[in-house]
Amino acid sequence: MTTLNRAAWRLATFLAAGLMAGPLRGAEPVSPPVVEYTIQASLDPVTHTVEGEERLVWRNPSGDAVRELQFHLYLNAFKNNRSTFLRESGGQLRGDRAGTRPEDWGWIDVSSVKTDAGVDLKPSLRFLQPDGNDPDDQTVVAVSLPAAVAPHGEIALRIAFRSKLPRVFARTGYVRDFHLAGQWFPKIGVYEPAGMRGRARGGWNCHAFHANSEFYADYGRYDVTLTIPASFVVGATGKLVSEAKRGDRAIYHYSADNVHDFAWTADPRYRVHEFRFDPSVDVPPGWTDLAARQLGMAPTELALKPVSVRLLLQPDHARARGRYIQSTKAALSFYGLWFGAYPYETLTVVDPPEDGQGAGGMEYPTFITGDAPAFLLRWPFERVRFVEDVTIHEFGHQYWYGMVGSNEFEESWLDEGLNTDSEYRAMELAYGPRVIDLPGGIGADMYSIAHGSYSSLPNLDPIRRHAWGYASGASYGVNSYMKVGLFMAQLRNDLGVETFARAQRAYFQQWSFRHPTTSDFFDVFERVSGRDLSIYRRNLVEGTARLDWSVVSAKTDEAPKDSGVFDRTSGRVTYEKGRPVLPKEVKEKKDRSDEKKMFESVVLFGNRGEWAHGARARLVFEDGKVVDRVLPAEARWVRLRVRYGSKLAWAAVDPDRTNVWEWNRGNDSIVLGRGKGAADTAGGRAAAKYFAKAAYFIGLFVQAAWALA
Amino acid sequence: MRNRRNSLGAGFAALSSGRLLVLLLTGVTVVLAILAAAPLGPSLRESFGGTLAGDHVLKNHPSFAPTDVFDFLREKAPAVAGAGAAARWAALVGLLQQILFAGGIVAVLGRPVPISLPDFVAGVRRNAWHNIKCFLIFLLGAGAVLGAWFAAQHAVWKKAFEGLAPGSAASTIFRAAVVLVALFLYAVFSLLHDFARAARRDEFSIGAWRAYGRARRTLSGRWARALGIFLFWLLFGGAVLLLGIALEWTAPAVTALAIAFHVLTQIAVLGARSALRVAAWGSYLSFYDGSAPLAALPIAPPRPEPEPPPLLSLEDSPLV
Repeated sequence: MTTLNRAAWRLATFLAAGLMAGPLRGAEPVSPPVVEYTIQASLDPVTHTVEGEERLVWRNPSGDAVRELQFHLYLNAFKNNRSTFLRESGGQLRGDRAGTRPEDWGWIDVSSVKTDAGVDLKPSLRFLQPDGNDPDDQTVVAVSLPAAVAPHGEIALRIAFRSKLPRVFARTGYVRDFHLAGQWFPKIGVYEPAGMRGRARGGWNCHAFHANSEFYADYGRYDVTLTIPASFVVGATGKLVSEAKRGDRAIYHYSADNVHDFAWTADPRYRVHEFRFDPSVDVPPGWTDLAARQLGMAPTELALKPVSVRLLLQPDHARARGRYIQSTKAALSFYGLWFGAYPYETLTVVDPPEDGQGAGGMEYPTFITGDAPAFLLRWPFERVRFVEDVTIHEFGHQYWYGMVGSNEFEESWLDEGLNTDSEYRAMELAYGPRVIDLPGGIGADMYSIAHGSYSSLPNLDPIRRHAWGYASGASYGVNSYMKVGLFMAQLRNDLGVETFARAQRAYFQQWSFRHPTTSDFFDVFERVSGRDLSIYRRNLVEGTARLDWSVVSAKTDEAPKDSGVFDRTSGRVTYEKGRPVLPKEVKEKKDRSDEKKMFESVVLFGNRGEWAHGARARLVFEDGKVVDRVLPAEARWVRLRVRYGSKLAWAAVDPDRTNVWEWNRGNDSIVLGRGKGAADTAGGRAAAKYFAKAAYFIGLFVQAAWALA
Repeated sequence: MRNRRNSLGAGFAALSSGRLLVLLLTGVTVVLAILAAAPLGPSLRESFGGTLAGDHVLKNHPSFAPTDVFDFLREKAPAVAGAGAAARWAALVGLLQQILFAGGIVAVLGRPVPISLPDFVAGVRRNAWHNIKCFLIFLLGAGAVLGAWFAAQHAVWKKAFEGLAPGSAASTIFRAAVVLVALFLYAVFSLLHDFARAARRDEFSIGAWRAYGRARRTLSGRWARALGIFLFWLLFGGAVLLLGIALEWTAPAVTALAIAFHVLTQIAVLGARSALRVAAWGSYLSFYDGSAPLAALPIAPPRPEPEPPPLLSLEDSPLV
């Protein structure tokens, strides 16, 4: 879209916003769906392979005649060390390493592709490297059609495949008898018509599987039958329609509508805990009213639906049971109230084993995997809210990615980042400001952790970038997650909590079951807020601008007394060091009790960052007086000069820390002295205390070395 | 023959008689710690003292404090790295200090005479090279044996236990057994090391290899008791130390008085470690002395007798 078109679109939407009344109507799923999968699959837990047959109905959403179909074969990322995924990741992801034994590799083979009419398409099957990536990568395949699929027409294919799950290290795979099957079947890409997501021409959006990318697919219907040894406990996306036994095998039939993926798990060790989310009792007190206030809606408009939840827990993680349940209910409450009721009837929460945590912390429609390392379940680390945080985050993906189906390859911030922001808010509401709260006062809140991550990263990438285009895995992670959390918090502080909440709900409602882009996000926020947010988009999302207001210098001295010739109302007076020079015959009164010492305080504030954004300045004097001033956005620096009867104790910029985007807090204040009330700071004591603490820890370290001697 | 209870009692008694040693060990530790922490001083004064960061951290503001700590660690990373490097050197010096001080401790602790600094220093000097050699033998021997042990357990783990589910009883028992055996092996080498150094208590010129042989003979038939002493000081001392660390860790300190008390607590914890060290030595030396009467143990090598003056000849006699 050209700049002119975009400006026109923005003007039109501003005008339309004035005419629109009432909440936006939510988006409805496309019907009939673009894709319909009917899959029969059978697991061999000894070889960790899945034999599958898939019938896929694909409906052409465009006005184009489509002559080929493109599929993701994600499992081929684990086939060998020349795949794009393994070359980019170096064989590790999120701290887990790939196995190197022959049985540790994973792959997917398509043995047959035919149309419903029996036309064999396998000869035309060829691998693609759509991102100019490694020529040996086999995660994208194309099939040419003997006849094009007509505009808005459909085609049905029968695909036979064999999937070998890898030893789990990157979301999907096995360890011992634990199996987590994600991205395990041939999955058709997304054909985007012209105009969708800003495309000039229609075409396939089917990227290779990169180390730092996730997934993108059309909404549809999944009808999946799994044949698994009867001793295994099974969980999957969607609703269990039927369950039957045949000898030593069990057959599970699952069905899911309005989803864009299907995952499942099987492990004989799972302990099943089923519970129900009942909104009438499980929504924490006060949340409904708070959400209603922020959204400007009546509490009755925020009704939630009951959900049947199935928790599949490892036997040695029994301590995590209550934490999983409580955090799942908190997540259902928060996301439902602030964005919209969770529309599905079921949710499955999977707890991977200790040696299978590569599968943990992952999201699929109506199916999430948590993470509960054993050491975090015991004192003192049980006070680290890791289990809760992962559960809430992964559930949140039911909204950002699950229902709002942004392209995780190209705009990872729209799902990971928005969800990170939601996760922070939900965690704060449910558990208080600190997610880490160890004995001795050691702890941190989510925003501090995000700030630490953001400020320690070389500022090489903007938030919005193709997932594989970041300078490093760390850059992908920080830009997609934490930095967006800070951006959203900054936006919320600037727009106001209520406006932000309404805008975000409107974005969710409008783009549910669709594929929005960055432009769509800003369009909704601008429409609801009535503000031009291009400066945020340009600087914070698509740029690398930092904000760094600082107290450059501060000093306070006795104010110079008047000296020289002054024209007062009473006439011309000559002063010498503050006292009028009188004729010699006039004796001077000695009483100077009403002479008060005055001090001149000069503070220079400067914005060392690239983003022009205002801040609040605060000067606190030793007698406790507080003076606040606004530092305007357009100013690069501001010098404040105050003449007052007390010395300056300290000066600070953004003392309440509403500028969440601020890059460096270390230069946000200067302390000159101490005093009463607000001027009473403990910095000197702090320096001494923490120096002693550092020496003490070093002393313990020295004494630990004695164990050798 | 001294028995284990007397050895333990001698250990506690050493806390009294060995006050000077406890003070010496604590003082050296404190000096090393302050010197190693010195690179942080200016950074803390500037960041914590010169800005609101110190106020936030001291009062543990739920969100400002962690943010300020992150920014401090980033901005002052060189100073933090400097303190880290200095700490590692301090630990090395501390290790060397222990190696050398052991020479003085075996010379003076548990004697019927009060401990004097000159005697202690003389013992340090006399036994310095011996103790270094003993340490190297300990390091190589224990390193080789423990290394072989861990390599073997890793191989057994991969073969027999890797396929077991996490948290299984068998894997838990196996891991516990590995740790216990490693501790046992370490204790054996540690005891041999200590008694090899103690051999200089009555044989002032014994070499390192012979000293280890002497240690082995000393412990022969009395391993259980010696290991019991080792275990006692490990567990008792560990409990005391952990309690002290926990008290220091959890005590809030915001006011100047509380901070001063906090610092005293920290010094007390370091002192407790030093005291445990001296007490353990007291027990081991009492155990060692049990193999030879205490009264017969000289503190220092005997001084050579002065030569008598030559007899006068009849020609030299003034009386003739």
